[in-house]
Amino acid sequence: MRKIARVLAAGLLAAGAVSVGVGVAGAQDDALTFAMVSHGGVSNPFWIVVIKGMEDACTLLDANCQWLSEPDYGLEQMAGYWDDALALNPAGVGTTVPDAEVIRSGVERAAELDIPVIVFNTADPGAGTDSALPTLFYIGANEFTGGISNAQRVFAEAAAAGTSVTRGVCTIQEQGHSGLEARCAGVESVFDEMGVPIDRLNITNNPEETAGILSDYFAANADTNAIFMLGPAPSSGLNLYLQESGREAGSLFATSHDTSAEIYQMIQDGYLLQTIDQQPYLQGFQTIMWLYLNSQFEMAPGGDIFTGPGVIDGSNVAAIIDLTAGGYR
Amino acid sequence: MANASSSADMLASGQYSPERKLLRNSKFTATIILLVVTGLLSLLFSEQILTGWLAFGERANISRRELNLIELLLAAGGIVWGLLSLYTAWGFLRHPATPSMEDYLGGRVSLRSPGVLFTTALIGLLFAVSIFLIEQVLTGWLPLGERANISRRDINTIEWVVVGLGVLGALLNGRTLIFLLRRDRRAWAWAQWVSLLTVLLMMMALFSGGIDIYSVVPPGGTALDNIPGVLELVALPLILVLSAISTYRYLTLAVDLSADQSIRNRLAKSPGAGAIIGLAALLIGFSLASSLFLEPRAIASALSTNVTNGIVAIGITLLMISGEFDLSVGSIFGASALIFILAMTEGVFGLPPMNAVIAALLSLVFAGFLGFINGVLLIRTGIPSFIVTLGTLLAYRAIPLVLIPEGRIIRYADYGIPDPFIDFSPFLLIALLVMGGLALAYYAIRQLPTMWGGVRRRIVTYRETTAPFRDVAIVTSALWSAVVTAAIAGLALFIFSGIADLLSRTDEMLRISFFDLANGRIESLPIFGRLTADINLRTGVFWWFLLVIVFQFILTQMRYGGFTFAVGGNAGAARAQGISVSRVKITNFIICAVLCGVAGITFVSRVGSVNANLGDGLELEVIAASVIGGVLLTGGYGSIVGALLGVLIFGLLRTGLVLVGMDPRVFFGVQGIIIIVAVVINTAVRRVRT
Repeated sequence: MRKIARVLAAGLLAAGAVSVGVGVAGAQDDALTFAMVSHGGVSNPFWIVVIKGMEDACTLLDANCQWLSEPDYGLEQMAGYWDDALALNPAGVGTTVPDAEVIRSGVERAAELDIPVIVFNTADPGAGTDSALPTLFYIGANEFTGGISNAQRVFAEAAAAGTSVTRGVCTIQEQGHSGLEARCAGVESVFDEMGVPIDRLNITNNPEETAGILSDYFAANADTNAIFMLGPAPSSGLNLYLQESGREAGSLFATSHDTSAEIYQMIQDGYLLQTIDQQPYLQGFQTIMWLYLNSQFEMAPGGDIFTGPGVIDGSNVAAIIDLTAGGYR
Repeated sequence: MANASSSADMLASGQYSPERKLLRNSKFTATIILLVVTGLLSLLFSEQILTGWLAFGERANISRRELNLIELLLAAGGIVWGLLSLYTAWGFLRHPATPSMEDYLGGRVSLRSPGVLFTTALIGLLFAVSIFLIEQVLTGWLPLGERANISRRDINTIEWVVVGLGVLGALLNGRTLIFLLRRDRRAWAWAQWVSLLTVLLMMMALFSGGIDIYSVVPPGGTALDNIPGVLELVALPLILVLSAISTYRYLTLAVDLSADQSIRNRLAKSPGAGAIIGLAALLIGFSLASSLFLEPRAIASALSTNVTNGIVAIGITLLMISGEFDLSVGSIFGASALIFILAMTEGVFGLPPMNAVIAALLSLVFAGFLGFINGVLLIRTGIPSFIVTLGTLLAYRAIPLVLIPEGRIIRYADYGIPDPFIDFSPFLLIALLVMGGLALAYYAIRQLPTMWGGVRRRIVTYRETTAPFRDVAIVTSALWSAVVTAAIAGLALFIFSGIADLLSRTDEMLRISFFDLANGRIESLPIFGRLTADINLRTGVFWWFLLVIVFQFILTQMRYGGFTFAVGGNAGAARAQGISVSRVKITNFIICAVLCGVAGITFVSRVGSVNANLGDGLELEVIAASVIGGVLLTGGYGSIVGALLGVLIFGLLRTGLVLVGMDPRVFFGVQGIIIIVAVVINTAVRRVRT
């Protein structure tokens, strides 16, 4: 069954590519054309959900849309994809900004041509300064507030359970990754406010090593009762540690970021209070919708639009699992 | 030595022999700088004590109006030592050719000549420190081990060990001191040994003090903002390290080759010597820094976590000894782990889901095939293995990326299949135990008579030998033989009791989960009894150690091991001897890959899931571990036991750093520095070979 689904998905993608190609060739009709330029693409499950959001929006609007990126990951190539995007004579362009200088020339030409540009997923680091790109606004998650949400949930659950958070630890699997550091910084801001000590701990993406490190950490810091994981592989390590040490579900207040089958199961088993989802579907869907509203009716929201933190916890995890199967999460 | 007799004439006539010019080279300049630093540090130390910034002894003395006895002694000692160091440095500078130890022992200069006096003083100081240490522990002023033991009526095991070491140190230093004063020629080698040991011991103390430095640094400041705090942690060991290094360097001037070489020869005999020293340093350093370190929980956790690295390191060591690299081990590990889990759940290569044992065999064959590709590519193209396996590192990574759709994590638990149980007859286990017993008996018959014969020979020829350490050699070889004998006896007992136990219940079939067999939690051990819940020791550790023993045996005792060394050391000579170089290399590539497969099976058995990036970066960790364990990057030298030690150093380092609460920002930095130090020690002890 799965194999059939896979073949079908590949077929659909191919069919989509062909139809988009046909649509571009016959772009003289009334339909609008939108382009989305990104640093990541179809080989990553995360981007597949974003692309689905884009395609669903375009189907609703009866517009031609094109996703322009390397299949896996490519930053420097974005300049070339920006040239391709402008060559499509689009009504609007969405772009990620992992590096403003790579795409500056493209974005400035779009501004001269009066083509609206919206930043999605990865915000312009220079936004609000003189070096900001001439774009409208940002649609994406805020990692810092995701960390805040997790920390606040931990304090609320501890209060509800009639105990207090004595010490926390934020684990980080890739040191120096700005998104992960921002998640930890959000957690730490809440802990600093509450006056509760919080540690940082280096872990890895290997669950076996992570479980070993956690076991050592908790031996040395028995008073720590809150832990913050930043992704699926680290959560897998936490799960292994919890299973092998035989700790009770309620003895450790834990949260995570992003999603995986194991994270859902940990939420259902009570090992994780919640996980933060940045709702990638929204990033694709809303970008197209706002490009449409802006290019046709000059509408704009009052500021950036945050698609996260979206919270998945015991109350909605069952519904989310169904939606994941549908490709919306 | 031929020059020694003429030295006196040269000294008299003001001429310099070529030997004596040594004293003015760059090596000697470094020694002078070391001495000056030592002197200034000692004086700073005394100054801080005298001004009341640095407190010792009874801490209650807050007012700091008066100094207590310990502080007075330390301050006075610091001043004397500082002046002595500076005097020695000045003495070296003033004389165009400084008298060496040779001159002193030959009776041509007095004890007052700079280097000789400093050496004698250092040995005397170490003697005094040993005595002081014994006194402090025995009187209960220096509690060690369990701190809760307040009453100080009794002395615990750790303290007895320290007292024992203190007595040993006192004897060693006292004896050396007497030799020195009597101008006995043996003093030279003894003093070298003592200064080398002091460097190593004090490095450990320095290390355990050093990792605590960040705790005394004020927030936002640097180490300079709290000089007394930093000095308290590191000053004493640092002064001793620098002094001992200066002494060692002085003693190697105008080298008495027999003394210098005898030390290096002894250390260079074993490729793992550096790793053993490093491991001992880590164990001692971390157990001083954290009471949680030398606990069954921490050791078991470090062992269990490093089963994967440990098993892969065996293969890569074997391969590196035969002169080749394999950078693709991480990819092979990830790919074969994936094949194993898919074979049990979805089926692979068009086969239906299968039994765990068959799935394991399939993944091993698959891994071996990947290794075979590596080997054949290397031999057929002649491209260096670094490049070939860099290519396959990337190519093999495509296997999980293609097989795992959409970057999922494949989990055994998601398929709702029960754990794979296997049933087998107790007679199978009995047969295995009997085979193990036979292997043990073979080893005992081969090794024990040789070992004890060696001890006996040393005793019989005691009077004839002229080696400076003949008595030490007898004691250590006898002790080592006793340890090996005891280990063999213990294993034999274990095998007999196991067989007896199994024979009593031969009528039932044994049933065990394959996962538990490969890497499950061990609940009880023969001698230690039942393990408490916090001790997470896995069966994978047993398989890892077993593989180490097997491959160490192959490498050192079997013909194939000899071929491996020959191929790595000098391929041309090996070929001239009729060894098929290509066959040995390809076989080692296959062995290395199959061991990656074994590691994959143990990983899946414990973790139960595989993601597309599993094993990413593994290659550098295991190569580093092998090199720490004494393998030469150029091939032809190394040992499997060394690789085991290297992996242990890596694993215990991480455990220790987590336990002492090291700041994560400097975590990698500390790891890197310690790896470099370990390899430097290795190279230093091996230098005599080249």
